[in-house]
Amino acid sequence: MVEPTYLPEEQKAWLKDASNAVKRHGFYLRKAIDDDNMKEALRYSAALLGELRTSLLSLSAAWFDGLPQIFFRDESGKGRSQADLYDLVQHAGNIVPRLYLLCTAGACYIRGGEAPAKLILRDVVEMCKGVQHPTRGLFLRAYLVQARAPWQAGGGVSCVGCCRIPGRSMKEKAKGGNVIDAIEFLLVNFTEMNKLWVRMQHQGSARDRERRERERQQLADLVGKNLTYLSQLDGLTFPLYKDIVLPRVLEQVVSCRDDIAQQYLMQCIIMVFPDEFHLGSLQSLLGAMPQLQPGVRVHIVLSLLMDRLANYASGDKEVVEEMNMVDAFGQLSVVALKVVEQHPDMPGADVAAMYSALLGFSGTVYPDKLDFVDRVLQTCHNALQRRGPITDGKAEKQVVALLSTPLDKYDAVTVLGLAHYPSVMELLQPRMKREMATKIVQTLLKSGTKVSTVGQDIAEDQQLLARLVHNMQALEGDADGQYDMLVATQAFILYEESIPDSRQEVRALQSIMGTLNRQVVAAWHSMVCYVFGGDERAALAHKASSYCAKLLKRTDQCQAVLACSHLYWQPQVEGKQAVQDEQGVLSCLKRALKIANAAQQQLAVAGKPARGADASAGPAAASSLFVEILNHYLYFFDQGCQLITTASLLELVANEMAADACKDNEALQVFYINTLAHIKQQKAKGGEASAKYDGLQLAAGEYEESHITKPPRKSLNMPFAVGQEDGAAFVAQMCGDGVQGSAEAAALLEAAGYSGVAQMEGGYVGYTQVWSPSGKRRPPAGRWVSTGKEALKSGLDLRDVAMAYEEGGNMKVARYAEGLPPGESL
Amino acid sequence: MVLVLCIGHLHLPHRAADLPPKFKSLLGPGKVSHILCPGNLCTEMVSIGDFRIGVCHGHQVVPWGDREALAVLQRKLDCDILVTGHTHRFEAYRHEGRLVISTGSATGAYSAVTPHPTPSFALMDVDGGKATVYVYELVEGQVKVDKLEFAKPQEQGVGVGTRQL
Repeated sequence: MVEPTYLPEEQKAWLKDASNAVKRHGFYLRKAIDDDNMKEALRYSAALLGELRTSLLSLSAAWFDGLPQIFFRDESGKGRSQADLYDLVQHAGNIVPRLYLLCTAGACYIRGGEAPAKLILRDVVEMCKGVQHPTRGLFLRAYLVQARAPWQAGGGVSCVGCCRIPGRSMKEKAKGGNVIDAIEFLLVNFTEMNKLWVRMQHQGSARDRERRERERQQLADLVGKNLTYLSQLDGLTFPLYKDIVLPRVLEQVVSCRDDIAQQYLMQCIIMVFPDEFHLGSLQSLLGAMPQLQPGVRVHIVLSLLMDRLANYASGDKEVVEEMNMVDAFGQLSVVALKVVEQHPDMPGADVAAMYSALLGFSGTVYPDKLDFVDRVLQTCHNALQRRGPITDGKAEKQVVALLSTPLDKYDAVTVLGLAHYPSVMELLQPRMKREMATKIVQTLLKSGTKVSTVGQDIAEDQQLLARLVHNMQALEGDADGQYDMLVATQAFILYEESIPDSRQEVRALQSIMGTLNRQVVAAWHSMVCYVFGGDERAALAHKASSYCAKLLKRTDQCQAVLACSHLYWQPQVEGKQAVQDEQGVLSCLKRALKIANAAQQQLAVAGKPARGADASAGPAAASSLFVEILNHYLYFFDQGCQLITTASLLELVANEMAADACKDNEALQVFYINTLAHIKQQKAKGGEASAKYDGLQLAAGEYEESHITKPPRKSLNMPFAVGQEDGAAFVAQMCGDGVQGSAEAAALLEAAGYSGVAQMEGGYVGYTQVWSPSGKRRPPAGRWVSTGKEALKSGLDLRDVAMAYEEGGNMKVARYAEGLPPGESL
Repeated sequence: MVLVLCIGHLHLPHRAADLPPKFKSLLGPGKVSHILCPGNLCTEMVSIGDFRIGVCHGHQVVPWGDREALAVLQRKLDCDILVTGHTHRFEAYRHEGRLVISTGSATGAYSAVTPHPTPSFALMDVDGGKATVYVYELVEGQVKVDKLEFAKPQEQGVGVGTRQL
């Protein structure tokens, strides 16, 4: 019979009509029951059930739930004979409603105990054969086993359907119904239902195969219910199961030769029956596996079984004993092998999945039998090898899972040592090998396993390997000193070798130098300090400072030299001979100052930094260097370095900080203020430290703090002192304009015994007109002075300009200097 | 109230296999607002609460871990709290009205300065101008917690170039 296909909209419309009809019939049926009108009630029951004739609506069978049962129960309660009812319902016109009614009435009949259950059941089961339409038949039979649930489970016992029959076995036996009959009934029903279910597959056109398969999957539970009821039968003993139930069920499963049915039913058998039954009947259960269709995914079935058995055995020694007795592992592996051999086209992924389930089983049940693992790996390897290299992603994943299983169950290191573990791993592509290696290492890390030797398998992933290395038990040895020397040497080699390589690109050079400078100079500072003896230390310190000079940027140079200064000065540490080379420190600091000066000039020439450039690149950067140097001076001063005096430096820095370029640089000012605060705190400390600081002039700093304009230089290096034999013992700049006040002051000084008192004509004002604060002669006022640079830049060829030009300005031969008297220069 | 985790010098995987499991269980997600990690970065300034916090790996400051040398850096950065490390030795101390936290190594990775460090990290509870530093150390397999309180000194330099977190 070919069923026409209907559009979903049509189906929906019918469903609506039918459901309305069902509601209507249901209403009249209820009314009839209320009126106690037997005939009418039956009529409406039949009409209601008649709506189910169309197989399309079978799925809505649940709709009529309850109504007929209520009806029949009521009827039987009113003293009518169940036998009459049973006969009466057979008058219904259509076969499907008739059989539904028959099932219901039959169930009532049994319940009433008026006739032997056995006979009625056989009668109903036989009659149900009248419906051979797969879907309708399935639902009818499902109803047959199911429908009794609500009314038979009366006494609060949660038994379902026929299960109640053996439940009352004492009474029933006399009436000819025992557990064998119940099993028989269920087995027959199961067989019939399975046949119908399988037949569904061959219904309709080949086009709809997929849809049909989907529908079949949905209906699988109806068939499976029979097995569930079987397992729930009170009187089902192991001998009954082994001798009657299992053989019959397996026979039906194997003979139906249908992929979906076999797959589902095998899983169902494993799921519903208790573990001990499986263990006892392992042989027959496993015997069926190789006979299944090629399309059945046996590995899923096997895995399910193995998982159950493993669960069952875990924590129960007796069960393990029992498994040993029946050689569960042996049987399982034989079956696995057979399955693999019988289905040569079984995908690698399935093979691997099956074997990993087997491994999981042996891991749980026999945690101490490593040879089992090896055996599994060996057979698995053989099976997979025949299938060629593993390239399919799914298969790869499965193999990785297979290889991971024993890692969790056994000691990872021992597993790695198994003969066939690497050979299975060999089957993987390099990429997956790597992933596997990663997994292995992760497992090792997780468990914190200590590894004494490492197999080459692991060497794939260096990162993880590095982590693993920490877990290895290294040979302890006094390698510290050698190690440090090696590091220092390597650092230098690295430094020297990488610079020429990277000359091609200035930027790269800068960054490498900056980084290496920091790394090298700073890094081995601490190391060098205590590990090496005097000569080595001196050599390394010298080498390091020579590198500083090679750095590209002056600011970097300066900072490197500052870092270098610490190479000569080790903090006092107990039990160590600290090297404190004051001369070395001082020379470093002086070099730093020199570099800072040079940097300042360089930056001044370069002019203002480009817009958006880092502030540290501008003139303020050089000033920042001065503050940094000051801090280092203070550091060594604090440390008790005798050669360090910071007074002049403080002055210098104060002057720098007052420069316009620095005033706006907040970070720099804060740095400076913090430094001054530090000095103040040191002073306030009291004791030895503050005594040292008493000599320090904080005047310059105080100027700065109150933001007074730049103070005058207090320098002895004044031009007018030149030529005087005794030099100026004291120079004072007396008053602003050098008139009255100055003369008086000079007289007072001379009276006090100062010989070299000189008076500046015009006072400070006059002085600053001629001399700049740095002691250089100012160019004559009102005349533009060229250094020659701008002329060169503009492309003009003025007389001698090009010749006179020198980078940074040669003051002696600059054009404006021509007017000076012979021998005198700026 | 802001929780700031100061953790660093993990050296994974080169010098240590993993964080100690006890630390891992402590450091659950969703509690900590900021994480300061003196990694191999140069120097970074952040503001949390009223504090200016400087983060510096520490190898740049010679001599390593030297209090005075770090004080120079602190003056330069003008930070109230300096989070540094490199020595793999936990330290938290006040110095001239400022706080210095050397996070130590959370994994207990060895270093040239400290061959066998105690795994440690610090959790800072910043509340406006007050910070409570909880120090977590793993001593003989047990987590030991210490507490240190720090309040921002009244007059301090103005913040320069910090990022407000």
